[in-house]
Amino acid sequence: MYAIEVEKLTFGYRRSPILEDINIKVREKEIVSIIGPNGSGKTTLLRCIAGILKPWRGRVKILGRDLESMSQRDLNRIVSYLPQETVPPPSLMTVYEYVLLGRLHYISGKLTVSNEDHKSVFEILKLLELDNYAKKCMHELSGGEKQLVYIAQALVRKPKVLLLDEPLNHLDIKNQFIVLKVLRELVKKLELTVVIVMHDINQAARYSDKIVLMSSGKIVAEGPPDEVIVPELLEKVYGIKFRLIYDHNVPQVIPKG
Amino acid sequence: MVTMNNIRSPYRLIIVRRLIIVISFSILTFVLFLLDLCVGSSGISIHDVVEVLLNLNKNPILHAIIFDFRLPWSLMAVVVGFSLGVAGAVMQTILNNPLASPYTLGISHGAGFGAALVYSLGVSILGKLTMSTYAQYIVPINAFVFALITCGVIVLIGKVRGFTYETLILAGIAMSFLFSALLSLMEYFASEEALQAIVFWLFGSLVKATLLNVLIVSIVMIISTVILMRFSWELTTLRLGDEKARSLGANPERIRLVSMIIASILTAAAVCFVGIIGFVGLVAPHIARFLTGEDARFLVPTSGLAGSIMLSGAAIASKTIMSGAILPIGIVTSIIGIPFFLYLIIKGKRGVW
Repeated sequence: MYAIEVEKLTFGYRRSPILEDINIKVREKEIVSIIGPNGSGKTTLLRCIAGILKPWRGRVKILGRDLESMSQRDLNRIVSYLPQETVPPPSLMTVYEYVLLGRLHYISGKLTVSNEDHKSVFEILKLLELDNYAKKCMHELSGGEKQLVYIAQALVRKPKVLLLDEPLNHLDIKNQFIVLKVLRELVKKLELTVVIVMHDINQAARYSDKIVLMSSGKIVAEGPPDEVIVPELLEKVYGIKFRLIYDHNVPQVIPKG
Repeated sequence: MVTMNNIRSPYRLIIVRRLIIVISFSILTFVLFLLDLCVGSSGISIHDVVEVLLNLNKNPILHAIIFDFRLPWSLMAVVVGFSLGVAGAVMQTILNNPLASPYTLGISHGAGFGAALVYSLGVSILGKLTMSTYAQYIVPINAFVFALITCGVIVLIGKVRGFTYETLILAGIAMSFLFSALLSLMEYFASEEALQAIVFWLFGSLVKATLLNVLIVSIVMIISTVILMRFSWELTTLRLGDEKARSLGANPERIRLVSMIIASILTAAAVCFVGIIGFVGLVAPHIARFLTGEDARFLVPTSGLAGSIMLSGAAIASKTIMSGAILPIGIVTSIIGIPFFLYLIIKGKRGVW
């Protein structure tokens, strides 16, 4: 069974479509990166898969179930979408409180938090090695630590599919490495399927099982890194020349001046 | 070895601390309420007040003073303060803005215009009424209805443009300017007597409170607070930004719409009987956020209690500053509140907003 199936998806905010006839299949426990120039529709596609945007045509299936047939509650328990950070977190909120909000569907309408909720927070903090951060306030964290806390919040309701929108933004190279390494481990430990929108082609090549290359709302190429990270394809999409090198069999590209 | 309790206990501590704050604020509210009851120009001793309240002293004059004046005033201070505090906390949360208060959206200006309409033109939504036995209710009803009309216009704008905080704040500012202009117009055309009545109403005063009014405000206050508490987690989530709230499964637009309507009704019910009491709705939420953090389960009631404390305190001051006179509470609240508010700005924790 596929974790995610996108079939003939077309979507637009106004009259003209932003995504046209998108087809993607993602297997369970895969890490898939979506790359492409700014404005190519990567975030919009992610939001369609997350069920936040309703497609004009076509459909999205998660673990074999059509999004249309799922309630918001069911959807939220299976899929977690981590948007780009646009608003800084409330600075005085502790990490524990922040992560707990990830279980909104379980705690909503109740004045007390159940043991099960506490257990989930504990488990995810421990898994991400954030146990020492539980009582810290959000403003005390570095960019990389914050990103890990966001991931903890997204995972605290134990979803099967994690969708991340540019989680590496504003992170230094070490923190990028840590976040991607953690995601790799999580895929194994939690049997998670991960879709990441990112800009860094080389990071995508190194850490993904599969890469989706998008341009102007369409998929240009899709497949394992060495099939997609090809200078001709990238030149067509980005409009600049690339040189291809291999590092331990991983394709990497360098822009040519 | 890290155990679950190691991680959970700091959170427990935070919760216990917040509970203690809620409880001590409740006690302080009660103490101030009693003190407020005992203070007045007639010089009744605390002992007499207690006796009358417990029905041990049957002196009809004392009885009348306590039950017809002091008790309704003191209760009104508590419930109006609570309502404005809760409304303020909700407004600041849903509009994501430290300047928001029950007045940001022009609700009170709408109420002021509604009241002025009665005083200057004798026009109310119940038609053109001569002052009859219902007279004491015409002004509040008109003020209430116009406050809700303001809210209704903002909802309509939100329907067209989306319930984002930018839209709501801008629509609210437009409404407050519109209604203050209309209010000025009413004042311009009002007779001298009417003008005096309008100005007095706008000062904000507890002296028209009756036990029935108190009951009405209390009912609105209790129902609204209970509803708001039911989605307190969603309110907390809104502070993470709309996109994140949505990704957690909340519906930011809907939460904003519902809580805005509730906060408007709360404000309208509170101001329609006592006139405009500014400031409480702005400051109380800051005190509450400062002490209890972002968790709306604690923020909302604490802000309400902070409002009650401020207004009861101001009520006591309004009766004691000038002996023999009761200063309008709206004025006293602001004058006493400002230094305190400035202290919060200077000394308060950085980064709350």
